[in-house]
Amino acid sequence: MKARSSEDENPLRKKMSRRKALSTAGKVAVGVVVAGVVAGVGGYYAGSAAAAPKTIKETVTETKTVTAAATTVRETVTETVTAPGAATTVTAPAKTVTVTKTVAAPGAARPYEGVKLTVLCHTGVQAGPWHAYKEDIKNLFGIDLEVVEAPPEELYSKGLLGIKSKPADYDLVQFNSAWIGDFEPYLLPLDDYVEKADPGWGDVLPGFRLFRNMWAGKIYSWTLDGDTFMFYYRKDLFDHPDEKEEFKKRYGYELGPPKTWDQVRDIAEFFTRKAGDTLAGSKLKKDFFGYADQAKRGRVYYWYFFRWIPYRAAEEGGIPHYFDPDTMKPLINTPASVEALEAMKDILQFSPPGVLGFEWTELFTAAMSDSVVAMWIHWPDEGDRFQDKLKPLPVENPPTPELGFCPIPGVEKDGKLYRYTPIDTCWELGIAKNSENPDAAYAVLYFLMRPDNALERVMAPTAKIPSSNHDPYAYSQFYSPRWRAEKPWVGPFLDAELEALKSPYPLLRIPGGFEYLDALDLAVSECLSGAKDAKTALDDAAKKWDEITDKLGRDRQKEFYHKMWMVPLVF
Amino acid sequence: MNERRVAYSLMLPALMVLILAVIFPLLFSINVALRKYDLRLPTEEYPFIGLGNFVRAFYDSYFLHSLLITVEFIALGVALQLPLGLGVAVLLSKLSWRRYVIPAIAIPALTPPIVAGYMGIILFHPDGVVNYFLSLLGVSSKIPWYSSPNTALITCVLVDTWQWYPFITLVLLAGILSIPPEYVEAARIDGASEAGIFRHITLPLLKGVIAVALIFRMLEMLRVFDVIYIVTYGGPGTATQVTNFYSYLVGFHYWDLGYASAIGWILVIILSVFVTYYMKAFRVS
Repeated sequence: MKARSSEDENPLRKKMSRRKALSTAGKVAVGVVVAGVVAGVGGYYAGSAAAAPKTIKETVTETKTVTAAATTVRETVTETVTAPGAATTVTAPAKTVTVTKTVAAPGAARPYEGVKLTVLCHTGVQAGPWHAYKEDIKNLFGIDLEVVEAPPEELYSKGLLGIKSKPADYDLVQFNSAWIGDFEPYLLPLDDYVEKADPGWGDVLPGFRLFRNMWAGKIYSWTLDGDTFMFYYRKDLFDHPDEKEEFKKRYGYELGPPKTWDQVRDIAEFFTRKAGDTLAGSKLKKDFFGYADQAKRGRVYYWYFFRWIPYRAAEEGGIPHYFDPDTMKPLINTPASVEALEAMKDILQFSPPGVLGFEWTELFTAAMSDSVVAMWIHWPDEGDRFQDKLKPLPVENPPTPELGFCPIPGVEKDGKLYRYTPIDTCWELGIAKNSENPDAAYAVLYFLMRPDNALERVMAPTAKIPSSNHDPYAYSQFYSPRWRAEKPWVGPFLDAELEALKSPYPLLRIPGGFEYLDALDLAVSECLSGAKDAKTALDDAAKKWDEITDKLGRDRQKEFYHKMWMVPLVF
Repeated sequence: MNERRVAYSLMLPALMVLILAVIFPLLFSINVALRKYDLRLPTEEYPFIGLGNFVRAFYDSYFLHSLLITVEFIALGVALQLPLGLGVAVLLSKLSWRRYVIPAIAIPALTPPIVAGYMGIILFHPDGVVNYFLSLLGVSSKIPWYSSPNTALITCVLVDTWQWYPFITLVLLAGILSIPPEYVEAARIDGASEAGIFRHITLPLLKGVIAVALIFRMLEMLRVFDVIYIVTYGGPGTATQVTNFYSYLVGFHYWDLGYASAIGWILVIILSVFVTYYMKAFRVS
C-alpha cells in the first residue's frame, strides 16, 4: 500500500491535473459570481425596503464648484443628498450640503446627464488634455466623452466626412485652420454661444482670433494650439565683446538681433567660420554656420513666406495679397517675390551642408544640440525648452549658452520697416453643425477653453496634464503669474512672442490650401536645389495656382478668399 | 447533398471574404477613378467624368516626370541589387557554415521600411557614417547625399538596396543549392573552370529564379513610398518624386481622390502589360 505523502494530507498543497485545476477554478468563479449576484439583489432589496435610513447626526457644509457652459452665474443652493449606501427611495435627508455652483440654468448640476459626445482629435500628446479632462467633463456635465484619435494626415478626411454625415459622427472636431474653407458648411458658428457664455473671446490674441478662428466675419472655432514662429539667435555669441567689436568694424553697425533680412545676411556671413578659426574668443572645434532654414521639400514654403511677406509688403506698401482679390491672379511671382526667393537662396550659402534635407529635427539638432548655427527661425519649441536643451558653442572655452529670440526680421523701404509674423495654420476646435447635442458640445468647448484649463494645457507638463504640445494663444496665458513663477525662464520668451504677435499675417486658408502651398513648396525646393532659377520656378508655381483655382472654381475660390480677409485689420 | 454542393458551400466563406476584401475595394476604386471625386468640392455627389482623370494624367507634367523617376529608381535598383544579391548568394553557396550567416544577412529585409528610411538619414547625413568612411579614403568634402538633387535618388536607391538585396540573395541561394551537383561535378571532370561553370551551368539554370526574384523586386520598387517619404519627401524639387509618392500627395494632401485612383490604375495597367511581356520574355510560368 502506497504511503500518503504530506501533500496528500494537506489539500492546499495537493497536486492537481491542469484540467482539474481549470475545472475547479471555473467552479469557484461561477460560485463567486452567483454569490455576488445573490448578495447584490439581496442588498438592493434590503437597501430599498428594509434598511433603515442613516441617522442625521450633523449638518456638513461642503463647498464645491460646478461649472456649466451656458452662463457663469454663481449661486448657492441647498441640496439634499442621500446617505452613502442608502438607496434613492430613502426620503429623509442624511446630510445637508451647501453647494456653490456656476450653473447653466438654475438647478442644473449635471445639465447633460446621459449625453454622449465624440471628439475627433490629433493623436498622441495633442490628445493628452482630452483624456485628462474626460473625467472632469463627466463629473461637471454628466457628458460621456469618447475621444477618437487620428494622425494629422487623416484628420482632414476623417474630420470632413465625420462632420458631413447626419447626424455627425463627431460632435467636436480638431482641425487645421487651413481647412476652414472646406469645413465651414458643416461647422456651427459660435457667435451666439459666445455671446451667452464667453470663455474669453477677447482674451485670445487678435492674430489667432481673426486669422484662425474667424471666417467670413463669424466665429467658427477656438484656438487649441497657438504656434508662433520666432527668430532665434545665439545670445552668448551676439553678446561677446570681441565679436561685437569685429562686427561693427566690418559692417559699420552694432551687432544685435536683426531687424531686416539684409542684416541677417550680414550676420550670417560674419559668423560662418571653419573649424580652427576663432569664435567667441576661442578656437572652433567644428565648422560653424551663420544661418539655417528648414529647407527640406514639404514645409520649406514656410521659410519662403518669412521673406515673401515683408518683401511683398514693401512692394505693395502694406499688407500683401496672395491673389489679386478681383481676378484671383496669383501674386507669388511678382518682382519682389522673385527677389525674396533669390535672397533665400543666397543666404543658404552660410548654412550647414545638407540644409536642403533639414526638417524639424535636423534644424533643432544643428542649432540646439550641435550648436553650429548662429541664427534660425522655428516654432516656439526652442523657446520653451532652451533651458535644458541648448548646448554650449563648439569652441574650446565656450561661454554659458544663452538663447536670444525676437520677431522674424522684415524689409526696410523708404525708412519704413515691414515686419510680420505669419500665423501658422494650426489646430483649432470646432463643433459640428450636424451634432445632435450642440449645446453639450459647446459646454465641453467652453470647459476646455476656460482660462484656467487653457493655461493648464499650454503650460503642460503639469500635474494635471503630462503633455499637450499646445502653445499659448491668449493674454491670460502670456501674462500668467503662475506660469512665470513656476517656469521663470519662460517669461522673456513669452514677452518676445507677444511682441511678434503684434503684427500677424494669415497663411492661406482657402479650399485647396495645401495644394497651393505644396505647389509653392515645390517651386522653392526646385529653386534652392538649382533645378530652376527663381523666376522660372515661381512662374511655374503661379501657373499651377491658376490651374488649381480653375479646377476648384474661380468664382468660388474668390468668394472664399474674400471670406478669409473678412476681418478688421486693426491690431 | 451532392459533392458539387458541398464543394461550393465550403468555398463560400472564402469567396465572401475575397469579394468583401478584394473585389469590392477594387470596383469602388474604379468608380472613384471615373468621377471628379475631390473632397474639397462642396457636393454630396461627385460627378461622373468617364476617363477624364486618365486623360488628365497624360497632360500632367509632374505625373509624367514621376514615371520617369520611377523607371530610373527601378533601373538603378536592379543594376545594384542583382549583382550584389547574386554575388553574395554564390559566396554563401560555397560556405559550409552559411546557416550562421544567413540570419544576419536577412536582418535588413526584416526591418520596417520606415526604420530603414531613418537609418538612411543617419548613415547618409553630411556628418554621418558614410561621409566619415569616405573622408578616411581622402574625400574631404561632405557629400550632401539626400539633400542634393544630383545624389538624392541614388541615396534612396542605396537605402532600398541595403534593405532588399538580401531578398535576392536568399532566393538565388535557394536556386543555386537546388542545382543538381552532378552537373557541376561533370563539368569539373571535363576541365571547366569555376568561371566557366558559373557562366555555362549555374547562370542558365538560375534564369527562371532570377526572373522571379527580379519581378518581385521591380514590383516592390514600383511601389516604393516609405523610404522616399522619410529620406527626401520627393525632393529636392522633384528629384525623387516617384509615382507612388506623387499619388500620395494627390490623394492625401490635395484630396483629389478621383485623380489619385486613376494614377493608381494607370500603374496597374502599366504593370500588367510589363509583367505579361516579362514573363513571356523569360519564359516564366
